[in-house]
Amino acid sequence: MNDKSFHIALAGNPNAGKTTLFNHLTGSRQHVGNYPGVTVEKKEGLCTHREQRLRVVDLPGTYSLTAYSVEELVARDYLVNERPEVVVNIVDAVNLERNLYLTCQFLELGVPLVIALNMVDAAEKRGISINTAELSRLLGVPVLPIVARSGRGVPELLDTVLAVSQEKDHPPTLLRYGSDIDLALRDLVPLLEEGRLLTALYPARWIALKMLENDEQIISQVMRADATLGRQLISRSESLTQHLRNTLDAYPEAVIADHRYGFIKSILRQGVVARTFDEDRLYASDRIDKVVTHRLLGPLIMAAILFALYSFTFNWSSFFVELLAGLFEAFGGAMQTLLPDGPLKSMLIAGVIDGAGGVLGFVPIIMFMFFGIAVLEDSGYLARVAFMMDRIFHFFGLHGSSVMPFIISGGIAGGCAVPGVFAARTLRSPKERMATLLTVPFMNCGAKLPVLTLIIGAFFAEHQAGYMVLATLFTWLTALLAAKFLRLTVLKGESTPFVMELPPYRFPTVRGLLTHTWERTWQYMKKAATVILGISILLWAMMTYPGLPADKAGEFAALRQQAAQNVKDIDQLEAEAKLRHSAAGRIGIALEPVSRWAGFDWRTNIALVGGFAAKEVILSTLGTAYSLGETDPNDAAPLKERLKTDPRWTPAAALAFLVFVMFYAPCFVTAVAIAKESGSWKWAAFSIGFNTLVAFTLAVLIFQAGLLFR
Amino acid sequence: MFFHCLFGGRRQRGCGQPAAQAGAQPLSECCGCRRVRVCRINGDRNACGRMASLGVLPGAVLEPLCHGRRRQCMVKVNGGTLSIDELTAASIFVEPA
Repeated sequence: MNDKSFHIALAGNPNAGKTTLFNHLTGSRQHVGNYPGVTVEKKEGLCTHREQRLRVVDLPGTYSLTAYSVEELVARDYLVNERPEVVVNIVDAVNLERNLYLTCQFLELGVPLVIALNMVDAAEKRGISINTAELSRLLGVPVLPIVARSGRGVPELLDTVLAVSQEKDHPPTLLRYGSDIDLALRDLVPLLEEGRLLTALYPARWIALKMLENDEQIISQVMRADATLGRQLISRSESLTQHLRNTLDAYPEAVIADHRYGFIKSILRQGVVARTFDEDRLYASDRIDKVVTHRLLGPLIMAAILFALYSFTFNWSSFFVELLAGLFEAFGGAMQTLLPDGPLKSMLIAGVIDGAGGVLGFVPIIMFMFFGIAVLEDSGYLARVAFMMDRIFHFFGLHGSSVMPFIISGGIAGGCAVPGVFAARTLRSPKERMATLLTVPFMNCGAKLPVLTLIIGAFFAEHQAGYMVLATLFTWLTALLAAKFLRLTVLKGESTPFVMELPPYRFPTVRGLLTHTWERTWQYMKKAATVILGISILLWAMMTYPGLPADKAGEFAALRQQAAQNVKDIDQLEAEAKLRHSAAGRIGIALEPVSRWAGFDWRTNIALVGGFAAKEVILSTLGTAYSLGETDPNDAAPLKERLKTDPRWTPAAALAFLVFVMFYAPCFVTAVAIAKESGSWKWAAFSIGFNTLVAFTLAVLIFQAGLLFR
Repeated sequence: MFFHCLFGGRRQRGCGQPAAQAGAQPLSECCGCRRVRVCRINGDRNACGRMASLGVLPGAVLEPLCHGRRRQCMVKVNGGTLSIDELTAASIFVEPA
C-alpha cells in the first residue's frame, strides 16, 4: 500500500451523478436526490484503488465557475485553494451540451482534468451514441464512459485518474471569444502578469475573463491586492462593456457564453454525437411533464399523490405498529412481574418503556413514510412540486428555491428542519433566505409525526389519511402566511428570479430506496435510543424528585389508614401531588394560568417544555406524565387510551394541542442551525418567540371556538 | 447563433434595455409555441449572466413544454429542461424559430 494519498475532487453540473459516484467510491451513504442542490457543502471520503489511497471530495453542483451562487463559490474556492491532484468532471451523457459548458471553464482554469461521462446507459436508451475517443481528442483530456449507479467503467476511470495525477503540466486551454473580447484579453493579461496580480492562484487569462464577466468576487480580490492596477483593469473592462453594449447591445458575459456554446457545438458536430432518433423528439420525461405540471391537472395530481402517500403509510404500517406495541406491552408486563417495587422499576417502566418506547413504537409509520418520500424524490417528482409551487411562493414573498428547504423540513410530513435550514443557503437574497429560515421550522418534521398520528389516531381515527392531508395543507398555509407577514414587516424587499434545471424522471432503484429509508429511519431510532431515552429518564427524575417531605407523606399514610375503602382515590391524589411537587410539575403549574386559554393543563405543559429539546420528547414526556399520574404507575393503559378517556382532552383541546405542536418554537438543534445560518442568535430567539406566538394564538382560537360550539 | 438573432431582423435591445422590439414577445406569453428563438433578455447584469451560463442567451432556441399561456415556463434548451419563473419569463423576449 502506497502511504501517500491522492486527492481528487468530483465536480460537475447539479444532478450529474457526483454524489452517486462519491457513494460508490467511498462506500458512504451520503444523501442523493433527483433534484438540484442536494449537495450544498463539500463532502469527503476515502477509497483505495490498486493499493493507492484516494481522498475523494464531492463538490456542490454548479453550472459555471462565475460567482453566481453559493455552490459556485464553494466549488471554485475549493479547486483554487485546495488544488486537488485531479478533478473528475462528471458529465451527464444525456445532457452533454449543457454539461460541457462547465468543462470549458475547467479547461480554461488549467486544472488536471478527467471527464467521467456518466449515465451512458440512459443515453444509449435515448438513441444517443457518443464517440468518447474523439471527444477526448478534441478536448485534450481523457474521457471515460461510466454508469455511477452500477459502477460500470469506474475501475477504468480510477486507472486514468492515477495516470493523470502523475502528469506534471496542465496548460489552460485558450478559447477564442471574437475580436473585441480577444483584444481586451490581450490588453488585460500582460497587466495582470506584470503586476503578478493573483497569478499565483489563477491563470492570468482566466482572471481577465472573470473581470470581463463582472465576477464580483474576483474583482474585489483584485482590488484588495492592488487597487491602482485594479482600477486600470476595471476601466479597460468597462470600455469593452460599453463598446459591446453600443455595437451588439449585450454584456460581455453573454458574448463569452455564446462563444463557449459555439465551441461545444463545433466539437459535438465533429462526429462525437450520433443520434438514432429525431433530435426534436419528446422523451417520456417531457411527455410526463406535460401532464403532471399541467396548470389544472398538476395540483390535482399533487394532492392525489399526497393522499396516496399518507394512505399507504397508515394502511400498510398499522400491522407493524400493533405488533411493536404488543412487544412493548409484553416487555412492560415482564418488568412488572420480575422487578421488585422501587425507583428502578418505576424508572424502567415509566421512564424507559413509556417514554422512549412510546417514540420507538412509531418506527413502522416513520419507515413507510420515508419509503414513500424516497420514491417521490428519487423519481424526480419533488423537483416538479418545486416548479408548481414556485408561483405561490413568489406571491407570499418567498423564492422558488425556498420550496426545497420546505420539503426537506417536512413539507410532506417526515423531514427534518435542520437540513432544511442548511438547504436555504442556495437562496441569494438575504431577506428571502431569512424568511425561509424562519418559516421552515413550521413544517411537520419526523419528530412531530408521532404526535400527529397519536392525536389524529385517538380523536379523528375514521379519516386518518384525510386529516393528515389537511394538517399538511394547514401547515403550508400557516408557514406561507407567516412568510408574507415577515416580508411585509421586518424583512421587506424585492423578489428575486428563480430558474432551476428539472432533472429527467428516473426509475428509483430498490437499493437507493431502501438505503434512503433505512438511513432516515436509523437516524430516528438512534435519536430515540440516545437523546430521547436520556431526556425521558431525566424528565422522569424531574417528575419524581424531590420526593414528598416526610410530614406530607405521613399525612397521606394516615389518610390511607383512615380510609382504606378510598385508598385508590388517595393514591391518585398522592401521585398527582408528587408530580405537582416535582421540578417539572412546578414549571407546568407556573405556565398553566396562560396555557389554560389553549386548553393545556400543567401535565401537557411539561411535555411541551420538554419538546423544545427535541419534538419527539413531547410524546414520551406526555406518556411519563400521565403514567406517573396514574394510581398504579406500572400498570398504565396506552397513552392513546388515556387521552381518549380523559374528560379534559376534548376534540377541540386535542386539535389545539396538535396545532400548537405543529407550529411552536423549533427544537433546540434547529434554533442553533438558524443562529449559525443567520449569523445571529437574535434571529434564533426571534424564531422561537415568533413561532410560539403564532402557535399559541392559533391554539387559543381553536380551543375557545371549541368551547363556544360545545 | 447570437449574431444571427441580433442581425437577422431589426436592431435588438439587450439586457438592461427597457424598450421592446417589434415582433418579439415575452416568453411568458409564448408557452403554447413550438420553438422560439431568444432575441433579448432584460434584467440586471447578474441575472443575464446566469441565464447565459444556462444556455438562455440571444440566439438560443428554446422549446416550451408548458400548455398554452401561463406565467411560469418550462422550456427545453441544450438538451436539458429549465423551469423559469414568471418574473424571468417576462424578461426574456422571443420570436418564432
